[in-house]
Amino acid sequence: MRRLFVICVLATLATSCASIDTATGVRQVAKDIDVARAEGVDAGSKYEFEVARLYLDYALQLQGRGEYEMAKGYVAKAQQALVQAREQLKNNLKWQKVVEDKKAQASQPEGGVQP
Amino acid sequence: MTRNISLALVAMLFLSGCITSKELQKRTSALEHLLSENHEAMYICTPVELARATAYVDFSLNESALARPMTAKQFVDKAATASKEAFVGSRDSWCMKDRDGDGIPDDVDQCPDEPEDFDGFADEDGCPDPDNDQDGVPDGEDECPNEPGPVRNKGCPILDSDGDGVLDEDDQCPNEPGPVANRGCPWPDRDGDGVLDKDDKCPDDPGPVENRGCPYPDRDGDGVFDKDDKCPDEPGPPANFGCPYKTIEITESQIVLHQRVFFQTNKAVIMPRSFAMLNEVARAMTGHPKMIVRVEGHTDSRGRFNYNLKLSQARADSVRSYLIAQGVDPARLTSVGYGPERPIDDNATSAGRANNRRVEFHIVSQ
Repeated sequence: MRRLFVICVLATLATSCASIDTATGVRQVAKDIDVARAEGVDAGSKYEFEVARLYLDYALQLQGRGEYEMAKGYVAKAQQALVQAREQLKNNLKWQKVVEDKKAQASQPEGGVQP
Repeated sequence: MTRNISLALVAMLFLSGCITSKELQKRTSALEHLLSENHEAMYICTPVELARATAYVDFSLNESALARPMTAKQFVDKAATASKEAFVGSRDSWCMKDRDGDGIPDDVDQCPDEPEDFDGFADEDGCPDPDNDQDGVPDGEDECPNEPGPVRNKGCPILDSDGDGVLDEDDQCPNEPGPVANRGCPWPDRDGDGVLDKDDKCPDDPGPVENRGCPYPDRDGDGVFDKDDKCPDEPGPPANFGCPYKTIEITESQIVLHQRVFFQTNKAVIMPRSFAMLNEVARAMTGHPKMIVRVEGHTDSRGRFNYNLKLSQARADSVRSYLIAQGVDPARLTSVGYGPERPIDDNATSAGRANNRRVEFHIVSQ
């Protein structure tokens, strides 16, 4: 009975620690994403930024379900995606404007403005 | 009966799980294939949809691994929707691939098969620039990749620090401008007369340009060059064209006359024989433009005092007028008659009286 009690206490402690760890990671990534958005990374590196954001959402879901280790993994993936987003930003901005212009041109109706 | 029903339920669940899992696996693989095949085009034209599709596939696989087929299926459905949007949105002509993988889509890449080198020089065109400054030295070996320069200077331009047109490597005086003919060094001017030694016939003696850098001779050493000296062998002041005064002498306080000024008897009319001496006085004053002189007239003691006083004033005035006529500024001359008041000799003798009848030139300032 006594042994069972000790095991329970240890298990509870381990779960609590993992929970705290994950929560801290989630908060940090959420903060990093906000900073990156303020810096315009979301507009310059749309793919990588969206991936980072979705990974964070999913990490939150896993955390809610008590899948702390798995959640930590997705926090790390979100962080990695954010790093890539920043790295890509400089190169992407150079050609993104050209693509945007082409898109805008293509979406204009032919024959000018209709009455 | 109850046992049979339970077995049937377990079998159903097992079978449905198997089918769902297989179906999921099949759909997930198909989506992964689709995303992989069209990744570049989707990345360029529908990056957000691509991100969603990729992430949902990932989540679906994860949920499958966690044995949550229902959640996995939800993610696959979402991934399918996002993939469809990504695919449809990236079919346009500008959503081209990036063959050289430099991150610049082929449609805007001027060199679609050569990756841009991103070295900070013309990186937008998608073409590598192996020799930015086109000086023939590859950027990797060029110490100045954006400034053209020869191979012998490691691709850096050879400077012309003093801007004299002679490059530093050929310039013996790289920090002092000088002509090519003197290897970039300025011509020397040893005597500092402004005539460069190469043109100076007397490079160690200062002299004017018009005499080719040589000093004009001055045989009598009076400071008046021989060419301007009317008496080149006799020292004399510049005011007298280098000739010595013959009839006067200039001291600190007076212009001393060697002769007397002669007037007609009892008159203030100057005798012509005194003209030469007075001309010399006029020249001396012209040569000393700041000199101010007081002309004094004196008589001996014979005759009436008032008469002598008037006569001495008239004679002093007469001399002043003569000097003005010779070109001396009137403002520099005053005249005073003292009569017999200031004798310099004995009025009892004939010689003494002759000495007392005189004109003096006192220098007030100079």
